[in-house]
Amino acid sequence: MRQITLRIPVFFLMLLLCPWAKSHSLQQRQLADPPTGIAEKRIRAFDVEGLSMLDALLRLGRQEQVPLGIEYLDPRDLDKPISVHLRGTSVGAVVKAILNQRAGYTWRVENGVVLIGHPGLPSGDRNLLDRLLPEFSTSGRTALVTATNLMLPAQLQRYLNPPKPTSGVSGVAGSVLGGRIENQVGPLHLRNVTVRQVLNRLVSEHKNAAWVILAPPAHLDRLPEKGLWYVIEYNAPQNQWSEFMGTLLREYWSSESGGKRK
Amino acid sequence: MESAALSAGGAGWLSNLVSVATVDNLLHKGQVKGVSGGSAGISADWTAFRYSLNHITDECDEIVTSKRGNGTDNVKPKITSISPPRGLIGVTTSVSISGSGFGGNPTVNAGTGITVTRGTFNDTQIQASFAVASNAPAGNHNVTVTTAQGTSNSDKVFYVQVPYSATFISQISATTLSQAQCSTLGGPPGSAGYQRWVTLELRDSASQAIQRSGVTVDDQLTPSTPNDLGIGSGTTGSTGTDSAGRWPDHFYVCSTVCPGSTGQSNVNQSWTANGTGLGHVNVVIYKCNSITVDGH
Repeated sequence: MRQITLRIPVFFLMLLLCPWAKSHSLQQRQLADPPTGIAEKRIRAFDVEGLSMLDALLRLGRQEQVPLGIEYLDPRDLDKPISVHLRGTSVGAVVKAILNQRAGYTWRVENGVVLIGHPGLPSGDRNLLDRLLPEFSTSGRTALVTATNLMLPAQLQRYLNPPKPTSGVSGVAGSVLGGRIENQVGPLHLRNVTVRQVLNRLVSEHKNAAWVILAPPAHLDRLPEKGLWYVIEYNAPQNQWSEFMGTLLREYWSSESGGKRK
Repeated sequence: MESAALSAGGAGWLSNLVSVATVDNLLHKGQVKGVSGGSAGISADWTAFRYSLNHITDECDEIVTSKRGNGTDNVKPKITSISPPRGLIGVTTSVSISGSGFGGNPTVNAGTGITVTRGTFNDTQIQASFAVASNAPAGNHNVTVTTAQGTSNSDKVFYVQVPYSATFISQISATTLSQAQCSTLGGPPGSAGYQRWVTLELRDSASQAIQRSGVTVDDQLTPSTPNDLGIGSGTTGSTGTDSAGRWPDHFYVCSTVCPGSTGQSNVNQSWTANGTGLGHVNVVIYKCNSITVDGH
């Protein structure tokens, strides 16, 4: 009898307290969260000296765990070193300081990713980043570069050029270079997402990567044989990417066939 | 007189360079001879003074030895080592040359196709940049250092590396691919297969690793025979080497005859490094339950 009398008040007390506890916990979490926008994230110090714009942005991404999406990068801008020294600043202020040293770049934040762009970039049908995918799946956990460099192009290609039924034996084989197998992402089953949103989702899972569009603005409506984007992982052995990315970008930008690699 | 000069050195004798320089000056002027016998004029503690004199004498000996023995002024330069001893064709490598007799405005020569820019130097080391032209002869280049005293030995070499192969180093992981996985990889409907991550290394024709970060490597797959898995297309790509000249390569295959078939598809994997084709082509054998690269 005594046990019952004790249990009932406790039970009712729990019922009464649960909603309050839940809302209190939510309030506490909201109070404890840093500013929601990645652009407002505070930075004690940021220093780069004589780096290219790309390496400066990647330094910021690596230092502050900020995923990046670079939709526009003129290879000529990789040849000119820049220097930035800021104290008591923010991610947004650093991005602005880097981009201000080159003409024509814009930036915004989407899905927690800092996106670098250009006012002249096409949109809609003329930009594959805007292409809506009914579905994107990784079917389990997989390496980031496998998802970005293999799965996403393959699944995008399926919607651009649906495969024709074939009789007999058919297969695909490949060799995807680069990447770190320990950077696992997924499993993902996304529906009605744009290509840009998929890329953002993939690089923001561990906040340790950037995707970089390789083709010039006029060629964003097609998927080159060797890919439209390259993903740079912040924990890759290289800490300077300008030389490598400059070579890749120049190949795409100099190609008259719309970015098809030589 | 000599005693007076030493007394003026005071407590600094034991430790500071000014005192040594003073003695060094005296040495050159031939005034040191009387030091050991000049104790009469010194009233301080004799033991401490004797210790000081011994110490100064030791330092004097070292100075005399280095001035006379190792000779910076009258000796031909000699190269003992070059680091790194090799570099990639078409790029600039920072090189450190060690040896002796480099004082006095040395010039460095590294043979045909290598433009040398000398940086800082001292008697035993020279920092230099070796800009290797893209048409420089491959292999050993004799390096010499020339000063007013003559030209050094030429038996130390800088080896110009020309990329030749993407060589299998080790396996990272390997798993089978289900139909669902092959679907996400762009495989034909109903296909299954296999995937394998390996590490490759850029090497020259002498099978030496080209240990340079950021070399752009790029591959191309061409199906050959047999082609039992019906491979019609494949994904390839580009990446940069790490500082050891290595990179990971993720091979995969999806076929409608997998997982049951025991057949195989041979595929030639050709490479470029910084845009120039490599002499060696890898043979990749894709099967439903294995992938081998040049037999590994």
